[in-house]
Amino acid sequence: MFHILGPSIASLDEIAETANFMQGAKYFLVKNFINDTQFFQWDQATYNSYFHRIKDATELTIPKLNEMAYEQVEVASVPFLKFVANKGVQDEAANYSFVLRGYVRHWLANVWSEFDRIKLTIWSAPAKPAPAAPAKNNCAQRVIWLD
Amino acid sequence: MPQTPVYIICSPPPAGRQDADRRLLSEFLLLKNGDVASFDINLKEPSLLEYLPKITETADVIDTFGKMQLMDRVIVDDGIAKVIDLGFHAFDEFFKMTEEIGFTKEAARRSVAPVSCSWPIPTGFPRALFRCCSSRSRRARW
Repeated sequence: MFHILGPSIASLDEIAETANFMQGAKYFLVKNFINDTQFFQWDQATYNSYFHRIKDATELTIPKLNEMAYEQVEVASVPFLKFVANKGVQDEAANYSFVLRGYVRHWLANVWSEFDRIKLTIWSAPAKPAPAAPAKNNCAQRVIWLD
Repeated sequence: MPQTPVYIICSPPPAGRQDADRRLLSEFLLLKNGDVASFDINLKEPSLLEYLPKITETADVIDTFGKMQLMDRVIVDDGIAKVIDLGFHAFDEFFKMTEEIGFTKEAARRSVAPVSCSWPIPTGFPRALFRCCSSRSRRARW
């Protein structure tokens, strides 16, 4: 289970409530950075009381995307990869800012490297085992220059 | 195939000899090519703007909008040489940004040639940009 957390005590309190139902399941605590808040890492006592409460929980960090880049992707109404590739909804050439595309590319690489770190594809793999990909062929390295 | 050069002049504090260098470079490019676009990112003490106001504009890298205004123009292969006068206050933010947005890779793809003019190499100068700049600096004779 992926538990998407917000940087508030109310949200972190949900960890304790959820913990009762998590026996035998794989539990991911997703720190979703939507702004510059730190999930109380500046206060180790508070931080530890929440994030070290469940044994074997895996932390996953979704870093903050530059605000203007995020809004531009929203306005463009295209997937992140199309935005990076400077393409519109119908794959037509677009004219997004090079700076904003760079920020999205950088952010996407960080997010995918987190997915690689927790081996997301193993947890969500189909029942039939697929042939193993080369170790270096991970998602983060595939966020490259697409246009 | 000719590349569009982008000269990044890193001004150590206080601006001394570099001050003359960047003016000389801008004036040389203006005389040689007939056109040059200079960007003054000396937030505390704009200098290039005072000497060459017709070809110089202020720029900043404090916020995203300022970065877009600067880098979206700098990355264009339009044949017009660009000179970025980078004050030491902006070193960290500028180099961090160039690394994050993949400036060197995109520059190579678009036939834009970044050339650094700096001594000593400032702290935080991205290795990729240094390699890119130093290989091109050897070819540059100005």
